[in-house]
Amino acid sequence: MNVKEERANGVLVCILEGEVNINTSPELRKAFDEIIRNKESKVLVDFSSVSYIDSSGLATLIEMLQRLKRAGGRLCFSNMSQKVKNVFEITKLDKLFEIFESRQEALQSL
Amino acid sequence: MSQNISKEKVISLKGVSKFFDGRKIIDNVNFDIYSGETFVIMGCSGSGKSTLLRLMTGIIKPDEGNIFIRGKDISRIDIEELDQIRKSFGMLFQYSALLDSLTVDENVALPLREHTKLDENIIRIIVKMKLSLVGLRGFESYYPSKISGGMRKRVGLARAIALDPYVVFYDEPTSGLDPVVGGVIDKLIKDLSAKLLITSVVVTHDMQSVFRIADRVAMVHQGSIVKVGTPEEIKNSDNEYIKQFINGLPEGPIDFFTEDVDLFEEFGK
Repeated sequence: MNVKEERANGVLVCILEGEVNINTSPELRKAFDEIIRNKESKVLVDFSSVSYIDSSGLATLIEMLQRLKRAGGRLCFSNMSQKVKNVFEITKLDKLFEIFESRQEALQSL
Repeated sequence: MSQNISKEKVISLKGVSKFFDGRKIIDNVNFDIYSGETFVIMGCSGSGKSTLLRLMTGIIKPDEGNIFIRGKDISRIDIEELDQIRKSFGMLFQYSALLDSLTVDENVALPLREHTKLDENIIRIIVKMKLSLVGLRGFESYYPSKISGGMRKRVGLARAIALDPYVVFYDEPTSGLDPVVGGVIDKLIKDLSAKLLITSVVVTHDMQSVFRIADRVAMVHQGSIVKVGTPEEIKNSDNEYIKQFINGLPEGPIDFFTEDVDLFEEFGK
C-alpha cells in the first residue's frame, strides 16, 4: 500500500493505493501520525485506488477521525469502489464518516 | 446463497481417510466447499463429523488423500505454513472456549494480540467493531461466567471473526442452547456469512439448525459421506440413513447398539 499526498484548496488529500490490511494499516497509521503532528485540520482520503480494506484499516480510519475531531479538524472520504463502500455499509461506518462520491464534492464540502 | 455456488473452491477433500488404532474413522471422503456458502456436516455422535472438522482445520492430518484449502494441500505442508493458513480461519468451538480469567473484550482481542503487531488502540477499536457485529456492545468488561450461554457463543463468534477470516468453522454452534437462543445464533451465522462474505462450515446434529442455515448439507455416517445436497434434496431423500436421522427415528439402518452384549451370556453361566 502507498500513501501519496497532494494539496487542494487548503485541504490535504491522501491518495491511498492498494490493499489496506493487517500488514499495511500500520503504515497508514504512521502517515496519519505525521499529518496530526503537522497540525493539518482538513483531510480528504481518496479511495479510488484502494482494492480492499480490512478491520484494521477501518480501525485506523476511526482513530484518525477521533484525533482530527479532537483537534477541531475534519476527515472526509471520496471515490470509493462499491466493494469498499460495502465494507463501510456492513459495519455501519458509513454513518460515522463523511463519504462523498467524488473528490470535487468532498473539497466543496470542506 | 445457493445460486452463487459456482464460485471458487475454498476447501476440497479428495479421497480422505483417517485411521485411529487401526480403525477407519474417516473413509474415502470427497467434497468441495465453495466461497460464500454455508456448508453443514451433519451426522450422529461418533459419525466422524468432528474428525472431519479437525482434518479441515489441520489439527490432524489424513492418512490417505488430500485436503486443499484455496488450492493448497494442507496435508503436505510444514507447521509454519499451516499456521499461516490457519490465521485466515475463524473457529467457534462447541462450548465457546472462552478464557474465564479474561473479560469479554480481552477474549476477543486475544487473536489480535497473538497474531498481529497492531497498536493497542487499534485493537481496542477492532474489538468494539466485532462486538457490535454480534450485538454485544456494552458487555466489554464482563467476565464469561457472568453472561449467558448464548452471549458466550456470541463472544466466541466475535473472537472467531477478529482477524477477518474468509472461512469460519463452527463446532455444534447451537448445542447447549435453548431453541430460541439457538435460533438467534443461527441467524447471526447467516447474517455474518452474507454480510462479510464468509464461507461457513458447520458441524451439527441439530436438525432445525441444519435447515435454517445450510446452503448445502453433507450427511456423514460411519466416516463416509452418505449424500451431499441442498436442504431440499436432503429433506426429500429416499436414503434410509437420512430419513432415520432427520426424523430422529430409533429404528433404522443407523445402529446405536453396535456391541449388543447378551447379559445372560455375560452373567448367566
